[in-house]
Amino acid sequence: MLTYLSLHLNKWRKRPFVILLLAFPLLCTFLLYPFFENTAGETAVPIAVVDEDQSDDSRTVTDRVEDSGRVRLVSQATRAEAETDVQKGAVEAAFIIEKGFQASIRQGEVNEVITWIRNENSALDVFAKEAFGAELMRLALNAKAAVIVEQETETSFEEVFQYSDQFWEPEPLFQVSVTERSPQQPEREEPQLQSWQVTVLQLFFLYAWLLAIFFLYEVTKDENSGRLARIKLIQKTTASYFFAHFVIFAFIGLISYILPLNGLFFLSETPQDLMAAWNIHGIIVAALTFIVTWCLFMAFGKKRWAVYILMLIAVSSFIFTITQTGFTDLWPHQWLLINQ
Amino acid sequence: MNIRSLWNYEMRATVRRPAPLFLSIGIPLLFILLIVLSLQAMITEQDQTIQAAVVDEDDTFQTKALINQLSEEERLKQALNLIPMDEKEAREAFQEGRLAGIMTIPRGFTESLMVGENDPIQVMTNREKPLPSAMLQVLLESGSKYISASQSAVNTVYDLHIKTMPDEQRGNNLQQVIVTFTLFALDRNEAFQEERVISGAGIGWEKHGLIAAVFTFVVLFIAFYQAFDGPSMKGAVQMRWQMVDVTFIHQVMIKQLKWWLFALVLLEGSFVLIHQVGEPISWSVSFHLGLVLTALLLSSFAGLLYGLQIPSGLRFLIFTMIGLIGLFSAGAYVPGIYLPEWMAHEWNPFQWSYEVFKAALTNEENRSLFTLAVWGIGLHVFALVAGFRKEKRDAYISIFTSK
Repeated sequence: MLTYLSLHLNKWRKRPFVILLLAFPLLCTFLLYPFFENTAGETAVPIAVVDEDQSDDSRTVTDRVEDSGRVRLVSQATRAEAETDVQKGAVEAAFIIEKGFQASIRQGEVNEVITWIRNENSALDVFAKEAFGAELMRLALNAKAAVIVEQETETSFEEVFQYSDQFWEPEPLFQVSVTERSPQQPEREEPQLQSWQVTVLQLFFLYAWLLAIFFLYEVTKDENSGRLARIKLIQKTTASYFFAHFVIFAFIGLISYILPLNGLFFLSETPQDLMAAWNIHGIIVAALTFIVTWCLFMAFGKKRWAVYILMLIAVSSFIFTITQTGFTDLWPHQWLLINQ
Repeated sequence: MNIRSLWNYEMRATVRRPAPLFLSIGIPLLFILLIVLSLQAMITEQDQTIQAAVVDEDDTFQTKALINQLSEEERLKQALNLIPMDEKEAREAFQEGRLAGIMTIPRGFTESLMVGENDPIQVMTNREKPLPSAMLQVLLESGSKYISASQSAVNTVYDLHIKTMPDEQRGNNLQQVIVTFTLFALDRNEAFQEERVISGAGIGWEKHGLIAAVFTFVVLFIAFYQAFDGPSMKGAVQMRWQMVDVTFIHQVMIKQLKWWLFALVLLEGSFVLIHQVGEPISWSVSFHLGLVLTALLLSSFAGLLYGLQIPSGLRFLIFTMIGLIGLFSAGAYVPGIYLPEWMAHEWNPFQWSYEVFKAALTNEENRSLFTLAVWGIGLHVFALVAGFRKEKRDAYISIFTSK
């Protein structure tokens, strides 16, 4: 048995890049994770702001919008500069805080206090508009309450304004608590991976599967070179040869899936129980897939074209699963997602 | 003369064994087609109104006003159908998969809101409807700030004024304040005066999508084709070529020339197709030159990996990985203006290729040629140096002797 294992492994001694192929997804995970993590954290909609009012309230609104995230404010001195930026496509839209902004807000009036400049291609600027709207309504409604209370009582405008504003600390009054459940079991709460993690692990699985399929080609080579015939002549059987081949085939597939999978879990600080569940489930699905793949290759007569057919099946499995284009239950990539 | 023979040999091989070429065109096309189809399905799904149930366990004037505030808000109204149900009905509809989520207002919610506590509203979203669920979450979060603003004002007027009123006036006044502030918060669109300017250089999502598809197609084509087409010559065939002074460096040159030619044809063909389907392209010499240089950039990069004698599988992985990261950082997928500033580099050749395509679609001046030329020629030279090193290793300095 060991003889046949070393027979297959010896082929790699002259090709050290095979080790690199095994570790390639793991290497990519460690190199690219920080890149994509930083990019995802810093991706934002660029918005130009012109503060024509230069008041405390206008500064408060812009500061709060900037802190709300997903919006990157670019201060411009004049309306013309902001318009040019929108035309050039350097920013998604521009917001001009009109002169008299604070005076209007303090009277509880909000009519056309901000000019919103956009072009026909602007789409994501509605999020910035919502952020500006929410912040100015916070101030305007504080002021509106202050105007009413000041008229009816002896409490000063500023005191009422501050009283109203304290309802926003430490959290706004209206809170939404979201939980995600499956329609089949709405009572059960299960931790789950994020959708980008699932896509990445499907890529890992595709890679591992393709790499294992490439190794099937070695049997075709041995057959064509007469090595298999010689083994059969001397040993009377090729069972040990094929068994050793299957062991290495499965090892290549499993190791090139499990290594990057755990690398990803480590970097994204995935909870232990989720890691264990995905590892066990992944190993079972991968083992089943590799057994079927190997059996299909043998059933196809160990031909070279069988390798191409199997590669096509693997790529189809990935594409049809991520695009959810139909027959999804047929594909091993879908079997991986039973817990999702 | 001999190098022309090698070119003829390569082209004959391409014609006689066209499978690598067709597979290299077919696989990326299929991949892009499926991505486009699934994106289209997502957009269609997004266009449908999201169905969600609201279960009001508190059932007070304030909670009714709150539901009214959510369901009457202009943006929410277009995207979200908030259906009042009791708990049993909502659960049944959720289990049947008819709802993207259930919003439950817990008993005692109004009381907690009036004393300034933050009893959250419970929202259960449907795991099997990820996009509508995410939309529901975004819409509710967007509405929640306006509700917080009006409720803060209601609490203030109640605490500092209405509370001191006689009992019989208190209820009416509170309701009046709630209605006034709720309507005021709903009118927030009045705060914005919208102006539209003509987009000069702005590219728009449709054109951006077209560029992303073409660019990804060509990068994936080269990635596949250089892997399928590029195994080094072995044994007797290589020896025969060496006999006529054609060695590895010539192979690098010819392979690269062939890949460049096919990449250029595909680029030109893609833009002719885009033009035919109704997106006007500004055909100019500098645009064609930009395509020539983009094809040169990609083929030279593939040629360099070939010259370094990296096995074809590994070459495919390296090319695909660097190509897709290059496209991403060039803003081919997420437009560059949204990406962090540290990602925008003047030296990124993919960014300059993107500029070539963008200039053609927006009728702008193309300023990317010099940088692209430097990259293309630079990588080409490196590929030749890599090929030459192999010749030296073989102790065969054909470059000085070949005719």
